[in-house]
Amino acid sequence: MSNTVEVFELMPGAQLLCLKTDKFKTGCMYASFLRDMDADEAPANALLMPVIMRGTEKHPDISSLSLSMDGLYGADFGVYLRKKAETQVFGIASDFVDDRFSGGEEILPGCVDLMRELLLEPAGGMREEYFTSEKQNLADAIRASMNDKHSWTVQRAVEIMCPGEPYSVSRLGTPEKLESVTIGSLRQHRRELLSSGRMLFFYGGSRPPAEVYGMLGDSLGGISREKEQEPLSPIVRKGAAEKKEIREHMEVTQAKLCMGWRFRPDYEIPYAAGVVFSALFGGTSTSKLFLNVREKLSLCYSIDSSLDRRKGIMLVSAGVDAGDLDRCTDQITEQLAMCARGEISQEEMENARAYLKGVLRASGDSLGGLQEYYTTRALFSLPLTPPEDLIGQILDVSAEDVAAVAAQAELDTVYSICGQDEEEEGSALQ
Amino acid sequence: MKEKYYPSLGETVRSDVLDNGLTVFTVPREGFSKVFAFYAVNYGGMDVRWKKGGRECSSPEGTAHFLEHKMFDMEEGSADLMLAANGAQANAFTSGDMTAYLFECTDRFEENLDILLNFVNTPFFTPQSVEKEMGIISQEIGMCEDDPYWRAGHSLVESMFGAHALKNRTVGTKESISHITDRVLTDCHSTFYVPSNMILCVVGDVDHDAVTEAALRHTPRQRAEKAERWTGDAGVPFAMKETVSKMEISRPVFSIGFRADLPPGEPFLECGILGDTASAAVLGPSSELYGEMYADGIINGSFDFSFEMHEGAAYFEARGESDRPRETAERILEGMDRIKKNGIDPSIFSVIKKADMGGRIKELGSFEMTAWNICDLAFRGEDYLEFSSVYKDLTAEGAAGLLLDSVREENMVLSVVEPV
Repeated sequence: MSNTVEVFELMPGAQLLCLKTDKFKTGCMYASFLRDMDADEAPANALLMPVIMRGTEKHPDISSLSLSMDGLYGADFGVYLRKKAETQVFGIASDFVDDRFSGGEEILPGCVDLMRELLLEPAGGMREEYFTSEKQNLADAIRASMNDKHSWTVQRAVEIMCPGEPYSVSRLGTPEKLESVTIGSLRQHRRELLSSGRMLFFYGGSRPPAEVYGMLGDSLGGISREKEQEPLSPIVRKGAAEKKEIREHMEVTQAKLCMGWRFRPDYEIPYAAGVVFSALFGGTSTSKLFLNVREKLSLCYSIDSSLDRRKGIMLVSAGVDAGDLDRCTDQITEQLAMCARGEISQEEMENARAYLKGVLRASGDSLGGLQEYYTTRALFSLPLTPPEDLIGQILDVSAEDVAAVAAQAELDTVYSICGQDEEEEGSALQ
Repeated sequence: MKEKYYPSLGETVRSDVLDNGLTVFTVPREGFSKVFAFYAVNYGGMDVRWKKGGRECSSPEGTAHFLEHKMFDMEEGSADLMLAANGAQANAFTSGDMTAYLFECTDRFEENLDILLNFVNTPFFTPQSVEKEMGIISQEIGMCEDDPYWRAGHSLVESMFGAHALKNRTVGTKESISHITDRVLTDCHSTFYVPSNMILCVVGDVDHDAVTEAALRHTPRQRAEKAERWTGDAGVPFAMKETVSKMEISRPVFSIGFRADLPPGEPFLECGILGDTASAAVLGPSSELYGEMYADGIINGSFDFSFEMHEGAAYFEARGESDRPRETAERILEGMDRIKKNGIDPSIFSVIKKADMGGRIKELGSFEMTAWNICDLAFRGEDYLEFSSVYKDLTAEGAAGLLLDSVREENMVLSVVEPV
């Protein structure tokens, strides 16, 4: 079943994507803001939605807000915050029982109305007590992000690899930058976002798109938008710098490794060959890295790779015994070199293609997956073709195409963390 | 083949009971690429004592879970890897009263179903492989013990149900699993993995008859006798009213439980929904009490609650992180005083019922939860998808009655894990 997406200009600089589908028992609606990743602004963006979600003029606290969602057959409204290349995507996500299953009661209008309340009528224009407590929660969350050593290592590696580039700014921002956000500056920021920030709405469900467009248009008519919106900045592309190798110490029982490669700025990584390469090299449990470095050589506990085609960066991260860090790094480099030399088996190609085919087919089976897929495509101005339409391109990719992508990767950064004692033990072995 | 349509949910369920007693359900999902298969055994961590052929039998704590781990071993290799090579994502779990093997795929469903049915019905244990698994499961037990929520929850159940099978740890203890041998596993497989004690449920765009035929090919022809579950007694006095243990954590984690003494034979579905809506009325985010406790900083976003119901045992549980867990318990009891005085507002209760029903309708979007719920209730002789008809008979008085009977000081146990 192929679904098509209709696109509407809801307001200047605010698109609405509507996916009409009868496949699911639920519908969903997202209101997103799209902003350039910026170290000064990131914590304000991360803080805004949690404060808004504490209450509206009509439902001024958690209990009354929650009761209004209960009344909409348990509709869920929550905050979401993502980083896509160099764009911070954040807003309110809701999902609710589709009108076909609510015993004749219409739910969507109530959800649209609640979305409007949250966006336009925060309690007391954003109460200071809500601001204070959510600022504390965010500060706690930023500190807690250090507890996940794996993602923390990746974040540190990116900071070392891309200093000064928006790509290195973390999703939540830093505690220092958060400190300077005040209730006054956050209120002002909210006003600016509503009047001139780029916005993207998404609806998925059984309602005809024109109806949804009408409902949202009427509901959000109160927003006065500036005619001209500032476009998002183009993604910064840079070639590999001189190789940086940095090792830091932390209280960890297992060392963590993150390696980063860049692709030349004038090389545009082709979609299909890029994703097949990424899956085949380190993206799956049948990849070269997983089967060779982890399974065959037992050099690590976990390993995976990710490729950001638009930014032209590939990262490999692994959990390793400190004594094996250097051998693991060498093996990862060697596996990439094998890809580049075209030493790729038929089975590896088939596994990667089958995996991607499964992923693309299954993404059409989840409304959340479809939202993510179409929002990303809209953000990067790609045609809104259904995911299953990309399968053909994937199946056409040859081992030579994969090798051609691999050959363009240039190692830029090798970053690792390990406990003090382990490293001494590791170097004693050398 | 029987076919039942549930108009308010837009769901259809096709079913068959084979001559050997195996129940087969398929739940069509037209237009979906993925197919989900769920093969469940009415046997879990609770089942350490049972009766069969008039004989009383027992096995070490943790056997059902150990067996689940070992079932993936086949003479020709690991079923897990065979399914992965076919593009299927396989998994399994053991709960207190169920063991289930499952996979999801978008391609080669029939082949994958054959693998699933084959490995679950074919024990292949050796003393060496059992010995090796002991180490892996010991690690898992260690991981559970390192999880403060698991620890708080387990102490709670242990204190509340000292003489009921619910107190048994599904993963077992390092000591208990040391008594598990290939012989124990073989015996338990032949006792519990009999068709009349199992259900196969497939959610997706599949041919029901083909699923039934596959089940026929892989299961024994003969109907075997079912074991009789021993649950013990849920009504004995509490072992402890409060337990405290210490761990490397930044904030205390608590679990507060209230034992509910339900008359035997209460229908699970109806009683479960009453328990869920009643607990939401007193502890849910839309309740007065939740709003007050959140505003006062006694609870935070980690606060959660549930109504748990098993054979012969039921309880309310509230859990989360808090610097003041004892105050949380006191506030819940104070909230109950208000319900005693004023009851539950019927208009709010009707909104909570709506939200609960909406939650269950939304959950039908998950293939796994749909199969799990259908099998769980079918093992108890009930039909999960009848849930939407339960709500009309639920009243605010009924919910308040259940709460007032159960959520009382004398039924309460508090379990806290504190930072070192």
